[in-house]
Amino acid sequence: MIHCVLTIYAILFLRRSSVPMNIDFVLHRNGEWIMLMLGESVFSILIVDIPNESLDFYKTFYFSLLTIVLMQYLHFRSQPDHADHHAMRRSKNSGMSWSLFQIAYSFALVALGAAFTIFLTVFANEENNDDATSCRRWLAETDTQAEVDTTVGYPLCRRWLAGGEEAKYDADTLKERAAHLFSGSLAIIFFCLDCMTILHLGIKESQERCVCKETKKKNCKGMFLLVLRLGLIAFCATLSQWLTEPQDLAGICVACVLCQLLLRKLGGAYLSSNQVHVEPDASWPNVTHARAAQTDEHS
Amino acid sequence: MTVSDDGNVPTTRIEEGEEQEPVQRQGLNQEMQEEEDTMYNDHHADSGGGAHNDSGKKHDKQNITQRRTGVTAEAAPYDINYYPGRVLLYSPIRQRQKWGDLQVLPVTAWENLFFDLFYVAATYNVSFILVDDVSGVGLLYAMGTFLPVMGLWMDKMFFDARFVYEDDLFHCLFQICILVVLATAVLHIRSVDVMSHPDTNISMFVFCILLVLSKVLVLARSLEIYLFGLGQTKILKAVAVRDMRKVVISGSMYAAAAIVAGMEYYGDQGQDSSGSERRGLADIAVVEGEINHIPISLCLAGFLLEQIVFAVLVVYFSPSGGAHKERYVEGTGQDAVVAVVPFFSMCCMR
Repeated sequence: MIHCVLTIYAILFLRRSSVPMNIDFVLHRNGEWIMLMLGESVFSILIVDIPNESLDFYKTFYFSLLTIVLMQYLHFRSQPDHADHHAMRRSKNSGMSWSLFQIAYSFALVALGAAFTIFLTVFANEENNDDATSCRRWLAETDTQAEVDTTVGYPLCRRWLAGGEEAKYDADTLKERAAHLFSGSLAIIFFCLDCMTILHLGIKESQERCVCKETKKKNCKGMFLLVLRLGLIAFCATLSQWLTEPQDLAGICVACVLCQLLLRKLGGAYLSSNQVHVEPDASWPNVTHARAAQTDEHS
Repeated sequence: MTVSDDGNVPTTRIEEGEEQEPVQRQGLNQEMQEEEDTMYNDHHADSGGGAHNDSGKKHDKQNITQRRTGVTAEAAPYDINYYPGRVLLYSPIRQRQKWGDLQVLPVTAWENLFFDLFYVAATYNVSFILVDDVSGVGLLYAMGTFLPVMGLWMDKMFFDARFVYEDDLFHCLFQICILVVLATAVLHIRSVDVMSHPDTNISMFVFCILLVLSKVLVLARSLEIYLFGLGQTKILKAVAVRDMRKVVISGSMYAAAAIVAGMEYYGDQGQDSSGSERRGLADIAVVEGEINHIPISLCLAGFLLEQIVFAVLVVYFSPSGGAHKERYVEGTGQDAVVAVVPFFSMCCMR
């Protein structure tokens, strides 16, 4: 029934005519869009204001920054070198699928940037919590009302009292939630990148790079690389189950992105198109040509 | 004649003896081509012929011939995009290229880069939603604000990839309207506490209304293509109608969200005597009110529905193998046959 309705719709309303898109322009603009998403992450990392930076803060800060820089390399290395090799040029289905993955990929990049912001602000919150604890202790111990009113006796108390609204979550809950957001968005980013790469190549061609259609010979090294890639995505997705400390997560994230870059490099060597079985020329060497030429009987 | 799937210049030429296009279609193509030439020449008769230095009739004629129905490689888009010494009130939208044309990457227009600047703020505000509330609700509001705004960017990109217009006043003002709408929408991307209380804070309502306005502007642009577009006219009309239908899907959901948010906000007026006082404080602090996630859910659903419908149409109801590039005259039986045959063949394959 649904098929019939959709068929009627297709007949009555769908026109077999379309205006072509300038694919180079679309790719260029999409590159600029991804730069915006990455730029948001850079912005989020750089504008966090922490009064007293600790070693852990610096570790988190520089690991996060390295991650974004390497993510930018990873993204642009994953793009095809020419518009003709892009999913949008291959077929309409791959182009459409690529667009949908691009949407998810963009949001995941924004979420990753938000996670980095939370990681860095956790240090400010911890400091605030310390301030709050020490301030409360000081208030309990202080006898003089005048000192309490002016808080001149304890500058940290001034800062805490001026801090503003209470946080929604306590420090541990915030770290846990930030870790879930971080690991989820990282896994989605890697998954989308890999899916988009497959769409650029084509599922059939990708399969042929693993198992030759003709000889059924398996490309073991290539398949092992694929398993590693899947394993890396699974590892990133479950990272928050094992770790919640921002500096540890940021450090592991750098390692994961480096692994991805390495896997891509190895993929270029072991999953290249010349792994596909090439049919030898059937006409060589068992080809014979007639030597005798037709002669004219009357000449 | 085979057409390569990537829309580039065909790789095979018509060989001797190869079946040519049917005479009927050739005749129709000729008619359409003449119609397009007439429209193009009429337009340029008034405006002076476009982007060429007035060095002679021969150059003018050559230029017009090259750019019959769109912009080709020989006449780069930059050529017709910017005229410092001329004030053009209105210039119709033109098709950028045809199937089979050599595609040339246009020079990056500054307006596109300026447009992107607004998305810096948009992504920052969306990121703040997540930072402020790291939960499922925060994710809902982040997606519900980010994706529709991203949809505006995609609309503009797909338009710029297919069409081009000259440096005229009308389109400048149109672009300004789009930027104002976008900026106001981005301004009202606020935290979950603010946006989830549409009865006490106007941000949700304003955000939804601006999404509706943005879709109205996109609709107006599609209408302009339908009425005044230069290029392969019949195809432009078909594309414009298709784009308008796509916009209606998401626009109606955004309108529903705006109605719900508006009813929440304005519906409390007169019922609660302290309403105005509460609204005055709403921007500064969270005010007790009813949480309502329906508007943001509708915004998110509107965007997702538009993408899903478009994906289904492209994947299941567009012919594959490059056949979507062939031009058909609408309203003929051939159109119906072409629509039915691929569909049934796909059914058989399943």
